[in-house]
Parts: sequence; structure tokens; C-alpha cells
Amino acid sequence: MHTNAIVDYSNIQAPEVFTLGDVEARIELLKFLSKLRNLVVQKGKATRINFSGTRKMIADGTLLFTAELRRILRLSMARVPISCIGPRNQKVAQVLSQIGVFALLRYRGKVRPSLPDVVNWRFATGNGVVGNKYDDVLGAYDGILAESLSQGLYVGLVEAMTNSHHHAYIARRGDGLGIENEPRDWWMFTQERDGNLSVVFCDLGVGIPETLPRTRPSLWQSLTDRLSGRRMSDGTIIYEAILDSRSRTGASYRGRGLRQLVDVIQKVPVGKLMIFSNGGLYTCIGGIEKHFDFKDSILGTLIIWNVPVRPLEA
Amino acid sequence: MQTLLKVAEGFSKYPAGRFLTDGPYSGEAFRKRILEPAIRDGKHLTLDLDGTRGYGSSFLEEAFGGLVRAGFSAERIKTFIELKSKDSSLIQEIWDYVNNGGTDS
Repeated sequence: MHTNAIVDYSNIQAPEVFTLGDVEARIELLKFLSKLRNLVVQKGKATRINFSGTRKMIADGTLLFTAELRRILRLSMARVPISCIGPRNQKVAQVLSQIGVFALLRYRGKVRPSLPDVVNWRFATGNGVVGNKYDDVLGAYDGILAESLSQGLYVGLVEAMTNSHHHAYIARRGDGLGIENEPRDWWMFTQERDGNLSVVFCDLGVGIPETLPRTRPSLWQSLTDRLSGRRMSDGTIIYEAILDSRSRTGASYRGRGLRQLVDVIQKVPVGKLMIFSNGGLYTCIGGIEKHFDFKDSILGTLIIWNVPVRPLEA
Repeated sequence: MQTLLKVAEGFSKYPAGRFLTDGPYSGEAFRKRILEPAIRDGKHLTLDLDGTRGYGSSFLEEAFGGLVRAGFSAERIKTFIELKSKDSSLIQEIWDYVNNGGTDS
């Protein structure tokens, strides 16, 4: 319960750009999230997030922030006040309002989302495998997306929920907070912009590289044998896990496991998929698969499908 | 007698997940509520798979591969269950789970 007593807030500057897609911006975002967790959950300090310098919010970084903020609020059980200083940038203000961040932070400024690429942000959260949540974020696209694509997105999302429910929360998250038995929450966004639809899903679990030894022990054994004890990067592990799920399918008509996440974008000519998990990144763009590594970790898994809004059948 | 079940109407438009603990319309729920009683009672069931949002492999494997693990032979399953869909790859995937004896989980 908040009181009217004067609260001594610690101020924390929000990043200029919320994204995982740019190395420098990603470093700033992850530092900001770490500092926010530390101040509120570990130190129990009232915190004020200063969005005044924020000028751009990209769906990937914004979803990760939203997920972290909701988790932090749950962990602090509303005992630690978190407030904010609003952004100067009107579009950023509209996004923060549209996705519910202002409501979470009890921001009193009046902002009414009206920009076309802001009112098309849709948000859902839950835990477990709840197929009807698809309609919350993508139901409006019935009749706009090709049936095979909408089915592919449904399958991709419910399999991501299944992975999250079964595997993501099997151990303590590596954020140093030492939290046990967390709810197996997931969060998702859709955003339509410039004729493209981004569907973003994330969990704040231990990440694919941490779960693979338990979920695919035979694959893990063959990978560790191949490397003779050398450490494998997170990007390589994600890539190998997807490769393995394809080979397990045998006949290539329908993917299984992680492969189903990739199959979504095979249904459109210019689809993109990115899977960030801990320090790794797997991409499949125009059918070309690559993997990358970062020095820091997002401490979870975030999947982005990007498809044209009016795609042709592949 | 052949009974027709449109999955989207008689079960859910949103089949998803593997186990009962995953959610209300999981593969295990579908197997226990729909498939196992029909086969056990010797009822011929035609499943119309179209009209749902889609089927993930976790749902399908647990529903159909799980039948084999529950002790029903592939032959008996195919005697009593008939599949109908515009998507032939979906039907093929389901019979793969049955033919592989529930070893794809």
C-alpha cells in the first residue's frame, strides 16, 4: 500500500532506444533492466524511471522491458513504489500508454494513443498453453493473413508457450535474485508497421542453451563430444537445437519441436524469424539461417516473426 | 455406426499443449475425453480436423502417439479412427505418430 509520505526515489535513466537488434542499444537496455531489478527487488528502493530521453521503442526491446517490469512488480508485491517521468517524444508516450506501462507505473499524464502504428500494438500475457490468447493479438487479422500463415503463427505461438511451460522455468533464472518456483509466465506483442506484422513472444526463463542438456540429452552429448570439452556459444546451441528438430522430423512436410517456429516464415516469401536466447541469436531471413553471439544475456528467450501483412501463399 | 466429430466444435477451436497440466485443450485431454472412450467402446469415429486455429506437434503427438503408449495397437486405432482434413500433411503426421508407436515424444 502506498502512503502519501514523501518518498525518496532513486532515479534511473531509461535507454534512448529500446531494442535488442543493435549491439550498443542492447547493452544499454540490458544494463537498465539489471539496474531496475537490483534497485527494486534486491535493495527495495523506491525507483523513478526517467523516459525523458527515450526516442524509439522497437517491439523486441519493448516486450522484454514490459515483461521485466511486470515481473519486478510481482516480485516487489507493490511494496516498493515505481513511478516514471514521461517521455518528451509523443510517439514513445503513446506506445507506453498503449501497452499498459503508464498504467502499471500510475503515470498521471494524459496520453491518448492515436498514431496508426501505435494503436496497432496488441499485448497479451499468461502462463500455460492457452491457445485462445492468439485471438487477443492476432484475431483482428482473420481474412487478412493467408489461412496457412495464420495457422503457422498459431502453431508457432502455442509451441512457444509449450516450450516455455515445460522447459523455461526448470531452474533459477541467472539474474542473481535467487527466486525459486516462479510462475511460468510468457508475454507477447503484435505490431503492424509499414505493411509488416511483427509477432513477438518472450519468457524470462533460463534460456534454450541452459535447457538443451535436459531436453535433448543425446544431442547435447553429441555436441559436447564434437567440441572435446570446449564451451559452445549460445548462438551455436540454438542453431544446433533447431537443426536437430528438423532432422528428427524425417519427412519434411511438417516440422516438430523448435522447427515449427521456423516453419511459420516458410509460408511467406519474405518472412523473417529471430530467436534471441540468453547470449545467442538465431536468424532465418529469406530461408538463410545464421547464428550470432553477444557478450551479454537477455536472461530468457524472445522470438520474433516478421511477415508481410498481405502475403502471397508461398 | 460412424460418428463425425468436428474438432473445432466438439472439442475446441484452440487445441494446444501436450499435458492436462498445460491447459484445458491439450493433446492428453483430447485423447482421454474423445479418442480413448471411442476406441475402447468400439465406436467408429471420423475426426474433421479443419476449422481449428491449428495443431502443434506437441498436441498431436500426445493425442495420437499417446494412444499407442496407452496400450492401443496401431491397427486398432486405424480401425476406429478416420481422419478428414484439407491438409493431407496433417493426416500424414498423425499416422506417423501412430505408426512410430508413440516414440516421438
